[in-house]
Amino acid sequence: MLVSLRDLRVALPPGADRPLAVSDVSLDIARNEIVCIVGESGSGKSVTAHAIMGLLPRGVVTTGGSILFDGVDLLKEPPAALRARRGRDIAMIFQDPMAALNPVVAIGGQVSEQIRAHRAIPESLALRQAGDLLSQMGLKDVAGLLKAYPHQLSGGQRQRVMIAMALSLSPRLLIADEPTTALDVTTQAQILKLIKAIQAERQMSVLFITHDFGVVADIADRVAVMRHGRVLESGPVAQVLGAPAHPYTRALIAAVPRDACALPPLPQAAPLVRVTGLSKRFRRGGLFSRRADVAAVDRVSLILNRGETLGIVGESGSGKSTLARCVIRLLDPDEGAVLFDGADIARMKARGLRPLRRRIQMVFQDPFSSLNPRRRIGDILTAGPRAYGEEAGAARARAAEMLRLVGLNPQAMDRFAHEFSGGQRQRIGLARALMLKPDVLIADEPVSALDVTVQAQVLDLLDDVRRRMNLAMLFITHDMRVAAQVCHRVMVMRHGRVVESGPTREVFAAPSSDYTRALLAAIPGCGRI
Amino acid sequence: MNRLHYIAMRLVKTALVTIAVVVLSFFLIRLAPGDAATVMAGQSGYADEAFVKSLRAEYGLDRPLPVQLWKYLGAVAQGDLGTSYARRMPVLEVILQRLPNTLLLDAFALVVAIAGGVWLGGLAARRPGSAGDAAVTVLSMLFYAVPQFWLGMMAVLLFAVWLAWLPPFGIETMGADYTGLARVADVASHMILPGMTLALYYLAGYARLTRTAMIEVAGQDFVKTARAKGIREGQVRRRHILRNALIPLITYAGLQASTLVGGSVLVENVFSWPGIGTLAYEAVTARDNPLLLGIFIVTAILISLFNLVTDIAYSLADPRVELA
Repeated sequence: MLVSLRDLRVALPPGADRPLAVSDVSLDIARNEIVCIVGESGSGKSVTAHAIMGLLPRGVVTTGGSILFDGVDLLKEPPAALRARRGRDIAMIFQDPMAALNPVVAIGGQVSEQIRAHRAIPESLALRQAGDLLSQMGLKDVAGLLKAYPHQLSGGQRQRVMIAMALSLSPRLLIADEPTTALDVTTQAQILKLIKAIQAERQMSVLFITHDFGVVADIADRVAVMRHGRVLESGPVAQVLGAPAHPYTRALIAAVPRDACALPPLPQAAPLVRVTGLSKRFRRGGLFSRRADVAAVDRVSLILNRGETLGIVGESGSGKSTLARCVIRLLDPDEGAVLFDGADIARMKARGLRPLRRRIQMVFQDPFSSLNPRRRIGDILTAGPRAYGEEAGAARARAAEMLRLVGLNPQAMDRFAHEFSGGQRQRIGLARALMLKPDVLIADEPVSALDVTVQAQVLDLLDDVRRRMNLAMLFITHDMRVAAQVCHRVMVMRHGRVVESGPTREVFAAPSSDYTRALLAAIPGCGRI
Repeated sequence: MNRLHYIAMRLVKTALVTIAVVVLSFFLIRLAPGDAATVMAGQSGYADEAFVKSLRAEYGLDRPLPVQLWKYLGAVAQGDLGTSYARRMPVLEVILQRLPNTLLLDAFALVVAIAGGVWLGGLAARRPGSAGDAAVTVLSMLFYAVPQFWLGMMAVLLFAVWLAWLPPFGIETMGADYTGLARVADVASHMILPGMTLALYYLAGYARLTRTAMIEVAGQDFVKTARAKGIREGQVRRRHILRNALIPLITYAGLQASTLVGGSVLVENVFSWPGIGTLAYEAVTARDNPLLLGIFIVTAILISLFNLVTDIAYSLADPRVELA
């Protein structure tokens, strides 16, 4: 064994929601294997990884057990020896490569810095080695990259830089903490492939942290499932996926969205929103500099029927959110029409728009930043109706009703947003949108920030609400699996254009464009779970 | 965008701003009742209607305002800021005599404030919530809250009157006629009290700002990455935390430099520092409008230039910022 955790115990600071972040975790990582820890947020998977690195956040401390690395207990090593080991024997990559790279230091400097922290070699040699590493990671134009800054790179390039950095001293253990969660699905597939290839080539061990059983199926040799700081189940990947022993593991696997349950298209179509030839360009540059137009949405047409969910699927930069913002007139489209119940929203003046606004509502991606932290839930829910002149008492009564509808206790009205979990907040966000009795609901990545089991619940809720209120829903997502679950029809977007559209089942079963095929093939765990 | 092109464009904007400043202050100053002619007549001890009238004619004050403005703008465009009523000297000459003194004092205060503030803030940020952090916080709140003129007077009392370590006012010892290094030392000893009085206030700001920025940056992912690389802690703090934390300080330093060029009227007056601040004060009391206008114009130009320098410094420190 390269790494053996024995009865590892990590304490949280006093006042946390539980005393131990990790309790009595035992886990082995053999040489030349990939071990996945799977769990939802708060499971202790990330804390376990950070404990191995000796990089626990302030106030979080190991209080028992041992972490044997090649026979040495890392918990007993002096800090200086541990520091020298970090980056040399054990390296780590993180979830969000944009945040994990220093924004004001050039890429070359960041990679060479790691090499020079452990080896006394001149900067020029370290830079040459950094360049070699970057090209091994499949990156082109290495000379330019070394001088570039993180914000000038794409998400996939940044994560490759992170991996190059981590591998610069040929560590024996690579810890990857959700390294693909922040990436687009096609990029995710490439990075997973890269990690697997490097692991096999260098015969190193990988500890891979993820919340996604699809990713597990793609990459793991062995799996450990964690919940509330404990390991519930562990074993070879085929065994855990094929015959999960613990009910929680079964629930997690069952919660992974699949395309099998795609909804059939509605039998009769009653168009409510009709978008034709919509374009939105963003202008870069100003008064004195050269202008360049970027077409975020390029001549898109769509029809949204009453009671129907239309999925808009695309990777980041595909224009799906811009499209939604134009439909709701948060942005003014440059061309095209948005006919809502016969009226063209795209050309309407503010005064005429106002009565229509309440009929189109939006649910946002981030349940943390989309609710005002300083106002009570009751105020947040009733603000909309009150702005349209509804009486306070009546509005509050309906707020209670809406909270019940989304599965929350009406007492929530007197509390603040921070007192709720992510899933609960997203329910509140939905209740807020429903308060104005809309005809159209625009859901912009409503479940992307949620754990997989919570995700399944919120998707069920959205579908239930859609059915009950006969809502037309524009559902924006980057996740093909999520789209498959709730959408009657889907529209695939890329670079601002519609690549393909049609009934969900047909698009999934027989995609007509190469891009859709690539998206489907990139789904982690495709066909294996 | 091309940096030179950007700078050229900014200089054009600076010229436009200056013209606007001239026009605005020209009218603003004349809103006050009375004019230089009445002041001069009063000073001469003899003032009948005819004398005041002749003074007005001499200085062109009897012409319609737009004509006065047009003549003034034309002169300014040729670098002639007019003649000071009170001193009977070209305004530009008077200002250029005083400006280096203010710039010297400001540069000293700025350097002390930044160096001291960043050092103290870094110290406080190392262990948020510790006794050292609390001490720095209390100290900086104190410097921030105490009025500058009072701090200045107390400093004079303590260091100049009681301890007699430092001279209480002026820029050099009168009548001493030092030359060379002796003169530099003399000016330096005169600069310490007003410089420190000015610096302490801003130092408090830098300390607070550095502390907050460093604590915030220390919690970011790339700092964790740096530690995961096995870099020494000192290097993590300098290269990764401090370097990012210093970016917001540039804005603050730019703002400070801009407020200082106008001359700190209070501190310069407390210490009788012969800078732009005391000059402005004198110009106001003497109703010396040409001088006052000249000071406005020169400081407006300097502030625009400092803003330009701040923006360029910002783009150099943070590669994500583009000049546009």
